[in-house]
Amino acid sequence: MKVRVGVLLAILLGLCATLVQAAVFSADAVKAAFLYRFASYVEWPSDAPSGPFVIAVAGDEGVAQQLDALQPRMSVHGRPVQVRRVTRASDLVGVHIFYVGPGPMTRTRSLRAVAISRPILLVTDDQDGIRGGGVINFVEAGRNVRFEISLLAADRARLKIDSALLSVAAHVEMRPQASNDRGSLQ
Amino acid sequence: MMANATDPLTQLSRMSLEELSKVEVTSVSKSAQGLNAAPASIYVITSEEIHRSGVLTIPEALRLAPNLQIEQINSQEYQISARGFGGHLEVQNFSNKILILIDGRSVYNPLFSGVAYDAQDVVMDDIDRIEVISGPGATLWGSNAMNGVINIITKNSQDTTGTLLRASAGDQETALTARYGGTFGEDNAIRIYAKGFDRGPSELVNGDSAGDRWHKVQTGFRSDLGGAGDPNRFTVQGDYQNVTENAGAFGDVGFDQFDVLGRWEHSSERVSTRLQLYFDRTERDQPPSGVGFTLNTCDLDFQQTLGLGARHHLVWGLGRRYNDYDIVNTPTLFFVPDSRTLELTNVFAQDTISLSDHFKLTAGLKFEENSYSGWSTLPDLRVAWSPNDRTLVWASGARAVRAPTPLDVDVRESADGVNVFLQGNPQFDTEKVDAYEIGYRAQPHTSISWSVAAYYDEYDDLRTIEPAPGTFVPLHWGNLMEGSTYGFELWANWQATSWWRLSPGYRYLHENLEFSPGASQLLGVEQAGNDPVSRATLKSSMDFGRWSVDAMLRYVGKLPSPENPSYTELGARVAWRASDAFELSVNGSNLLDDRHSEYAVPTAREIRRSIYAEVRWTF
Repeated sequence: MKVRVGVLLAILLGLCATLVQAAVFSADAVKAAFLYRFASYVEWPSDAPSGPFVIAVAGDEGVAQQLDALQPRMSVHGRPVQVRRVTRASDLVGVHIFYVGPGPMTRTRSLRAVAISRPILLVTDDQDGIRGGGVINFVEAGRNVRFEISLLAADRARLKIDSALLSVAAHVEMRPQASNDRGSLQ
Repeated sequence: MMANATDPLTQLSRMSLEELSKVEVTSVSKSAQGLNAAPASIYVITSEEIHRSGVLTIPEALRLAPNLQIEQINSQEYQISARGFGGHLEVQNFSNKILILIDGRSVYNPLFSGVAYDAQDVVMDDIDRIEVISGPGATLWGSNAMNGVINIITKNSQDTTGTLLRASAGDQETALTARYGGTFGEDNAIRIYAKGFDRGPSELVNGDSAGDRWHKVQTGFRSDLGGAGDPNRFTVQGDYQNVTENAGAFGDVGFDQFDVLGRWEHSSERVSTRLQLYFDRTERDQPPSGVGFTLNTCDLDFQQTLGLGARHHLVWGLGRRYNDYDIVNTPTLFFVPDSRTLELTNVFAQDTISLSDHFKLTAGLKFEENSYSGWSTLPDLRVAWSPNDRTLVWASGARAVRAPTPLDVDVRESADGVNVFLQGNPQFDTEKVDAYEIGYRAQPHTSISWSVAAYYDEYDDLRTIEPAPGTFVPLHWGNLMEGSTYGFELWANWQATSWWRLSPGYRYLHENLEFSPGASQLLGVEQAGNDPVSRATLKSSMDFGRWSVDAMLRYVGKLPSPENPSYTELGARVAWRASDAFELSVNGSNLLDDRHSEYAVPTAREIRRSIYAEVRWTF
């Protein structure tokens, strides 16, 4: 009996120790950290907005809050970073990265259409893949957050993607004409 | 101040791409309590919390809010309150100091003051969130938002495309829900639904059926036109329900309820405008001994939000509501007049001023006029200090009222059908509260957040019962009780591991009421409400791959008069997700006892343990 109590106590103490050590991250926090990281692996064309580096968010207040929380710890290419919530097309002026949260495409179609026509890194969180116009799309892989990249969409936005980002991607959608383009990037 | 290396945010900010792709993230429900939310005691019940708790009704979902007190009276009826005044049914005092709205439509019954919870239903899967605010909210929501406001907000139809089928069967409940949603045109969507249930009876103390089985069929739709980014957005929605309730020896009760609501929202650079119109009709038939009624409500509401310079954020609006009713009088309970059109008119403005980056002041004022007692002035003043993005300290002072109803003014009651022993009082005034609160919310660590609010409320003109001078009967209602209450509410969320979340909650209430000079003191101060001092809850949510296990333990203290003993009960749910589309679950409520009582009056019943199994299929 005494042994059992001892074992139980040991298990409980062990559990407590693990609990205290475990840093628990939400998917929102990890996505926010990714959004800051992406900036270092993308080259914007020369006509992209100057001034502060702006990350815009629509349709995902959770990620927006995590971006806010991380903001004091982050800089991009030595520039200050602004986090902006977007509801109207006019809010997209001066934006470098535009993240559109999950949810039906109908709600964000017009915002996506505006983003696609500009040198903006459109990042999506669409369930049915990278067809929604995103250059980067988050995907769930078990308990991990991963992402896929469309080089076609990157070309359209005139963004250059560093090969290091491609190598971490779960999947890369190649340009239709040349399947060995990835090699030339390296 | 800048965090050390063990701070999770700093850890996260230093991770490489490869490390980020390997971080294990939690799948247990995230909390919707943003620290940026209003400086008030607000608890948000998320759609995921509703889904994972397995609750099938709105009142059962409200048990998830740690700042409410819920009493189930029988199979059909509930009393729900915040900060006391949960009603005293034996003296016809209902929980009438809390307002409840479904998508901006008030479901507070203007005839008897209170909420008929058997008539409030939505597809539980279509709820986006339920905002539960304890404390006054009269400046924004008007009279009866005295001790609390419950906002049930359903999802935009653009978020509910596809088909949902849900079937539940158990010893108490058989229920079916079907919903279909689709898109049309550029940015438009619509959903339609139908649901029905048959709910078994509560019990008598000896375990016999109390004979209050009931069933409902309900159908409805919601359509949203225009997506985010469109300057104009429209919403149209409506519901129809038909209910039959057994009422034991009294025979059957039936009612039909129908509502339709339209909303237009316009947003431009600095101004957003909202215009909303709804119509609601209830026809309630009662057996010969009861009072039936037809109630038509029409409400028009206009609201505008303006950013004025960098510092001011102004909201203003006006509204008008008509409640047109026709009561079926009986010889023992009747109203003079038995039909009438009550009008409610309001105008308000509220300005939020950013005094500095960390300090905000909100000042608001509403003027509201009701047909019985004229104009009320409903002011509200709040300060909020947010030293960083993880901490909010706030304080407020506000006035709110409970408006008179036909039950207070026009009622006549008679035991023999000849002599009236109770009658309404044409001079009946609003019941009033001046409420003072302080609150603190913080997220000291990414895995822990907590909230606490303490309040001191001063009440005046609370309803009493007074004798006729000389003859004693007929009795009439008066406004001769006053006093104060104080208490606190606190809750926390602890993400213990990536698969386990624990959420404790507690509320404490002390009531100190007395009769005003000249009062008859009939029936004692306990007629204002029969409320427990304490209520505590502990919620646990666990995920194991495709399995999820959720439980909620609740303790409710003793109700003092009439006395109902304290009780502890457990609800639990085990679910298995076969695929993204298909889920099986077993749900239990009130598991710790065969039956228990939540309210002690002769008409209240014992609530039994119940278990049901469910399949939920989306495609």
